[in-house]
Amino acid sequence: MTRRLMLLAGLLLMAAPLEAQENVYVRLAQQAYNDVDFSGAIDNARRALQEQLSREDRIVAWEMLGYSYASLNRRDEAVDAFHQLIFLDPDREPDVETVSPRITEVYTTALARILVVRRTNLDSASFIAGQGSTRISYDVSRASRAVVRVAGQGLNLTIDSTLVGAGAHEIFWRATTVSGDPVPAGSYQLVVTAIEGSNEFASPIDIVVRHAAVDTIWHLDSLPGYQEQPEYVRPGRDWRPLGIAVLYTGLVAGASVALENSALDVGERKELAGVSLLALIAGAVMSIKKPDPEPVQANILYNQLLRTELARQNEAIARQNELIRRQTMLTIVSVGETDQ
Amino acid sequence: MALAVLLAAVAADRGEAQVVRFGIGALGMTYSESGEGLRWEGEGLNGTLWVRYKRFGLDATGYMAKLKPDSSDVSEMDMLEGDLRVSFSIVPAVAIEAGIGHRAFDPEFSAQDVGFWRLGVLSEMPLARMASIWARGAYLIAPQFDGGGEANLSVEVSLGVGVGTANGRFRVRADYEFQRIDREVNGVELPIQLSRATIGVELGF
Repeated sequence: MTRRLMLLAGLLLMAAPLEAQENVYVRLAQQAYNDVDFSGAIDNARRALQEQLSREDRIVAWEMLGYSYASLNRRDEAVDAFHQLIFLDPDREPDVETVSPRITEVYTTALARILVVRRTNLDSASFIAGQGSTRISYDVSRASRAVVRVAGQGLNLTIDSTLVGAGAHEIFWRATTVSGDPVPAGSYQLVVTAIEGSNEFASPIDIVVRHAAVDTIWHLDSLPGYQEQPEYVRPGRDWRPLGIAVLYTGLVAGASVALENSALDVGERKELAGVSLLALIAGAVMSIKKPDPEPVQANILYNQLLRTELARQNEAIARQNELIRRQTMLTIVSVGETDQ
Repeated sequence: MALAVLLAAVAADRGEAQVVRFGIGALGMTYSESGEGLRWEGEGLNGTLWVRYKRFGLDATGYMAKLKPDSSDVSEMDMLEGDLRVSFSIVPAVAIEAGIGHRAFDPEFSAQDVGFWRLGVLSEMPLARMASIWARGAYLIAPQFDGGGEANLSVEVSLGVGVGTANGRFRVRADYEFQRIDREVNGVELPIQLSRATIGVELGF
């Protein structure tokens, strides 16, 4: 008795860091299987299954039992053990990298003999209600009628009901009610039920549906790739005013002098000199001073076109936003499988 | 009459193409008559009315000056002159111009009073948005003198420049005018020549 307790304590100390199982016999069964002691593994697994086990321990115990029976070529017992394993955890499969092909083959045989739904999954997605969908996938082990339902928040919606063969299948759910409205926000269960005669198997997962406002479109401040042009441009320095002043002054002064009557005393011509000087100064100042900005008609028209187009596009955006504000953004998240 | 018609048209249509300006200024002038040595110089005042309506224009000017002779043989005199010009723009910088003018002196017969018709050309060019320069040339038709006689050649040329605010409300204006009238009485040449400069301000509305 004392030896047995010491052995158990030693095994506990050794196994604790390596294994997650709580039950000592489950750990002993795993240890024995790893040591290629299949009979020992069977004994410990059977002993463990007679006790109150957690779900995880129960799964491991039936797995060790199935693997060990298959390794000892005790096929029928192995199939029975795998049946129990599959009912407990349909998605748990032998790892082809670490177990023998014989075990995999026996597991496949066991799976084909029972009706289960496996790998039920909903892809988390966000989309505008009525404009998108999310993918629901599942495997059935045998040909059957597969009924996919969503239940919760007072709803029980049948999304799909169809005859399917063994293998993987997928459907797309628009997350709308029968009337076409988006399903209310809240927690739901997605249940895939396979029915074969009186035999049926249901695989539920929890999902959450959230509602949010759809993002509206920003109004435009400018048209991408286009920018307004300056409507007034200051021209470069222009000597034309001085030229005109010289021309006009020269013509009048020349004509005056030429027309003077030589029989009369013309005096100092100070009137001509004074006004001519003022005219030349005015021409020079107008040439030297910084010219006033002048309107550029082409740019003014271009800017008017841009502003008109900008206003037109913002009107279209406003109309679009009006529609968007009436829409609902649905976010559908799978929160993991539940117990069956 | 022409002034009344033009002002009536301006009053009827106050579009952007119309401008009315009133101005006053100072003048300096030289007046020569009847040969070497008979020359007066003096200063005075002038007043202007300047109207543009579409392609029509009106310039009315009155001059008043006190003239002093450069010789003690003749006396001082006062000059009073009125000029009216009506123009029609035939191309943007060129207008034909017609008008009348009359010049009188006080005391009577101190110099020849003269009245005339004129027909000529006005050319005005902008130097900038608020400045312009203009030149005139006109033939004086059938001058009438209070001392009798007739003129074979009667011409005038003038030069003007104006600089003002961009809105046209205020403008400084300077003008030069030269006039030659070759008066002849009974085969004797008694020419008249005038050279006048004015500088003044105008208010537009």
